[in-house]
Amino acid sequence: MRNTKLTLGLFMIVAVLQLAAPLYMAWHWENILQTGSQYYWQTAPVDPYDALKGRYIDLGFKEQKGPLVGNFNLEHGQIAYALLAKDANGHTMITGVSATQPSETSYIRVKVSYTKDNIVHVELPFRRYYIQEDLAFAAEQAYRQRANKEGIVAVRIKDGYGVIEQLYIGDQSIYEYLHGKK
Amino acid sequence: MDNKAVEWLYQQLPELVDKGIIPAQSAERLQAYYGPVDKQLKSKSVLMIFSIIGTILVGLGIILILAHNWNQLTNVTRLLISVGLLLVAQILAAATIWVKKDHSTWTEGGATFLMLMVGTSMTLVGQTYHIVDDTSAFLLTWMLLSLPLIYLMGVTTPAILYLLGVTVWTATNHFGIVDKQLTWVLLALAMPYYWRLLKRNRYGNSAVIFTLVLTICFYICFGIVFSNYIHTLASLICATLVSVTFLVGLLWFDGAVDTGRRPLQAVGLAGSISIAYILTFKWQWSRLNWQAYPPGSGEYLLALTLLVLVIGLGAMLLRKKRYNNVLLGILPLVVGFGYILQYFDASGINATILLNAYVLWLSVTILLTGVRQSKIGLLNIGMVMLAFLVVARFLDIDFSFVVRGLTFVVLGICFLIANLLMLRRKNEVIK
Repeated sequence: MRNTKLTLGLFMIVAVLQLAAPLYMAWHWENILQTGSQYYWQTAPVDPYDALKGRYIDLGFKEQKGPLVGNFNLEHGQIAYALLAKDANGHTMITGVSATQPSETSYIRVKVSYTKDNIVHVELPFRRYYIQEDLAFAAEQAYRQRANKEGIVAVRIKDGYGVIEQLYIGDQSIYEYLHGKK
Repeated sequence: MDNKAVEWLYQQLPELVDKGIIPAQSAERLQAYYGPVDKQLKSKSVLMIFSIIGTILVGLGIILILAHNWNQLTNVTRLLISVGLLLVAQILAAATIWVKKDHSTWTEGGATFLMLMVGTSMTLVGQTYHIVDDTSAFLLTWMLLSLPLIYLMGVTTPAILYLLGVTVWTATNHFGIVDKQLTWVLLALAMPYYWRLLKRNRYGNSAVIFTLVLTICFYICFGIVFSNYIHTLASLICATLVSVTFLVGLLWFDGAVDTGRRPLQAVGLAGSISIAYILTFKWQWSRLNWQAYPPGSGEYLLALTLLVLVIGLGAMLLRKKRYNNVLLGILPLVVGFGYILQYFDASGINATILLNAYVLWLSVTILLTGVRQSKIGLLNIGMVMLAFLVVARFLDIDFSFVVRGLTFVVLGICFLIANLLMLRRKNEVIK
């Protein structure tokens, strides 16, 4: 019996750790969603075969590169920091890519794809938009047709982490757009 | 000793006593030593298999239902569902620890369900916030959070899932060469449990399945972790690896009555024969280019270490005076010699001849052993190996269809005659 109590005691510790994992994840992303700065990112179409993977849309972005900041060698897959600003239309632009964490607030952690002529091409951390299974096909069609002209992703960013708030087609959210079409 | 063997022994005992081969006292002593046969074991195993399959199906079903990505659910509801599912699974697992700790059917099912729900809860949160799941980080967290369950609940299914998870983690992780070595630490974390299984009964269901999965996972991890080193000497390294498996099986896992309970020997044997057979093709040797792709020191070190291990294990086997499997065990040495031949003759013809001679020798030896011991299974394995060798050479070299056809017919007739003769001989012995 003492042995069982000890096992159960240790199990409780493990159980708390197991519960902490999803709770921490939820807190981390919800906090960014609530308190992060809002950025609007223009989308770009992706390879039609990649567009829909089961229940999410693979997103492509127009602004995925910026000039190298500092004297560093950035390699493929390396974590770097993209400095962000907004253009006249309120769309996000990358003003530079740095290997070290910047002191200012508007930046996002990215993965380096490649560097060419001092311009760093990066992979943004939010590339998926999960969508309800039965709406997925229509969403894919809408995205493919209009991503280049009217696709916008609203992202909340804080301390280098970003979380997607909404995917817009024109001035409607993807769900409003799909329901309007029905 | 496994249950089946004890059962067989007990069936034999009355006859042995009747015929005066052993005294009744010895029979009683044997029975006292091995104890009663667990008649319920079979139904228990069936129950456990169904419980595990049922649990996995329920778990996967829940994952699929949530994968629908219900739009109606708010972020809070989704979080409540994911945490709630995890909590329910934890309460079930805790209850099995408290009430049914010695019922493996319950503990296996409870722990497996909990392990699946740990992964599900994290996936659901990731999906809610459109997170690009960094698969390797997710898998690592999932496996490490599930690992303690293996020890706390003494469960094999989560241990096997852990091995599979670590293998997938190794395959999806894009870190450098040094970071990849973490795979060994992760696999080692499951070893105390494996040791416990081996100590309990190395020929029991759990230990046999664990050994099989571990061996295959180990091969995959080995290939991925050392992928930067393994190039030119790949065939030699593979041959030594399967040989080590085979020899370890012969040395420490040879006591099972049932051949199906010797996973290391089965994997080692299948691997050795396959590699030897693949290396009988000339293109396998002629494609090697020592000048363009010279093996690095890492590759040499890896091959040499494994070769030393094979020689050491082989010596241990010979010391035990077990010469019958030496022929298969020397595969790495033959392949190694093939490499030396290929180094001096880039066309690869000498190495090809060597490997063909080796497989021919091996097939004939197995075939003759089958004939000598009147084992029809062994005879057929030898014949199949021989037939494969002949067929492969016919595909290699440009012969006319008539000649190929005739050879196939002759081979088929040889098969039929050999089996017929063997059956007749067996029948005569029975009469």
